[in-house]
Amino acid sequence: MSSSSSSHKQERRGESSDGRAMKMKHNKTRAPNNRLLVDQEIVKMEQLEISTNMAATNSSFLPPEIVEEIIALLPEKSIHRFRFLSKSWFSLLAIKYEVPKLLCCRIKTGSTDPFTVCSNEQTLFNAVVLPGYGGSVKDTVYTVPELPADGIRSYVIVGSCNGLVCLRCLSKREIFVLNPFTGICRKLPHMPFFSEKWDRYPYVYAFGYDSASDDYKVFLAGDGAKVVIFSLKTGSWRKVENPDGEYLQHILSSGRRGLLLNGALHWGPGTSYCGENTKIIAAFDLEKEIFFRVPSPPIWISDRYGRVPILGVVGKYLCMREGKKIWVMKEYCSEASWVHFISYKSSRDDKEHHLTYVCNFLPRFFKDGRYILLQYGREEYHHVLKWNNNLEESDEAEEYSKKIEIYAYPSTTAIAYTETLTSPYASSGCLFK
Amino acid sequence: MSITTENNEKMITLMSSDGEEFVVEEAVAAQSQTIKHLIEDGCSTEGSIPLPNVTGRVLSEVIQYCKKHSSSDDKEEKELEAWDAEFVKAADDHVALTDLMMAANFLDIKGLLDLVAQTLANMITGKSPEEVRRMWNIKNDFTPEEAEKVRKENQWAFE
Repeated sequence: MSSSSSSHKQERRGESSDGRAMKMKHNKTRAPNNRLLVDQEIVKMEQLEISTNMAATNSSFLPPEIVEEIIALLPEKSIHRFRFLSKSWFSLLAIKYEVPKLLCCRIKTGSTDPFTVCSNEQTLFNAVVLPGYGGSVKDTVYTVPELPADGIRSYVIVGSCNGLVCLRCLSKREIFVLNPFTGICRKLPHMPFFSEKWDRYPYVYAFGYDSASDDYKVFLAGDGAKVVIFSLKTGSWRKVENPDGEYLQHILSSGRRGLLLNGALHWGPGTSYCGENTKIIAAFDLEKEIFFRVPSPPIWISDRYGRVPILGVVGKYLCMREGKKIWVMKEYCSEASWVHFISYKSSRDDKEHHLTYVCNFLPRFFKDGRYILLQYGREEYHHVLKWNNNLEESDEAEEYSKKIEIYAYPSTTAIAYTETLTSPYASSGCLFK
Repeated sequence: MSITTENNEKMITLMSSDGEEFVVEEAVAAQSQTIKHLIEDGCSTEGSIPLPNVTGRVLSEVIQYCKKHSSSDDKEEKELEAWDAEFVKAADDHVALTDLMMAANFLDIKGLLDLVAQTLANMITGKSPEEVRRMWNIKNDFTPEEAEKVRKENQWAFE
């Protein structure tokens, strides 16, 4: 192993082996009759590279895919330790093997809105690592010094995505995007498009990520029939031209936060559930910035208390809670793919639980299952359902029900959250500010 | 270049990045999916197959592995495992293993890739981040404040 190679050379070599590896991968996915050509191209290119880089003994540079192979075999504790090797390792691990956390926020005393949090001190969040994701349930306290803390203010969680959390302050119309992990908080500028007293009428917020433009967007609809969007990349507010009034009416009547999935925001039925017209799931495409309709489950009735079904996201699927059943749409936008997923039962089943929110944590690496977060609005408790099967493996709802374990957290409001280095100031780069 | 031995076994020639040539049985070389595809596509008929990012030293080790694994059948699984263990032990240090792993990755030899990945994983499991950085020349680009923050919040991983 020659140790004389300069760091420049190593970098150069790193790039080339990286690129080559990608080509090889790409090649494998091609039809066999294309392969010859591609392979010859590769050989040609490699010969060129070699002639310019003849001294090539392999360096100790590690291409990402090699790193991934090794990481996959490491025990969990080592993975966490090695997140801090460098920023690129951190990003690689954050994306591939995210550690799911509950981000729990303090609730304003006496508030009936489970998503309202208040801050009369600088600490806003406690993050809880789920069992199996850190050895034990563990609290981390995040402080966010930039959030105004003069007296008691109420904040509402608008949404969370890739480690960023969007909050709005109820009393002041202020919106913040923050990364609790890095502690970087961005206050959005004043939104100029709505009339003075717009927040006396129905409005909805949402927060999402558009992979086409690699941009995070804050969505706000209200003030009659207006939709505005803030782009973290451009740093400005913008009006969406001619939004579809019918959908807009629907989402305004739902009054809920939009749920992010597949680059679109989704709203379930409105709270004023009154027949066929409201039986839709409305969605907003964050790339094209247009509304569209997502088919709802075939059986759709309000339960015996007249409660409407609640829309949620479980992993990469839309789900809907109806009474104590949870339905899942296995194939996005396919009406026929709605399946009955689980019936929720627990020792506390005698009480009428109020599932207000369902989401999950998408773990892909750890072996012991996945989680859904269920929130019981009345009791200020979060239940995490854990199950051991992949949705893809079986359709049998019975199976899931048997394997469910329940964890309860005495928290006030919580969202699924992953630690990343994503900055609220730039949508890419994954760095501290 | 196709040569046929007295056993009627087809031979092919592999050329390393530093110009060393290795004549091996096709069945041995075909343990590598990359080479197998090149053979299927007729690349080997015009001469030796160039493997531009594998050095002669690494290639000879790879061939050693492929030879062993093409000649053994399932009954000798235990013996093969012992052989594998000796094989990676002989590779000696993480630099040689990393080279071997990159070659296995490029040549697409799954068994070898898994074997070396596991060896490297075992090697670094108990190591500190600083030791691993030194192994692979990873530059720590966290600022001291950032490092302190992430370390504090993930203390359990260091205990």
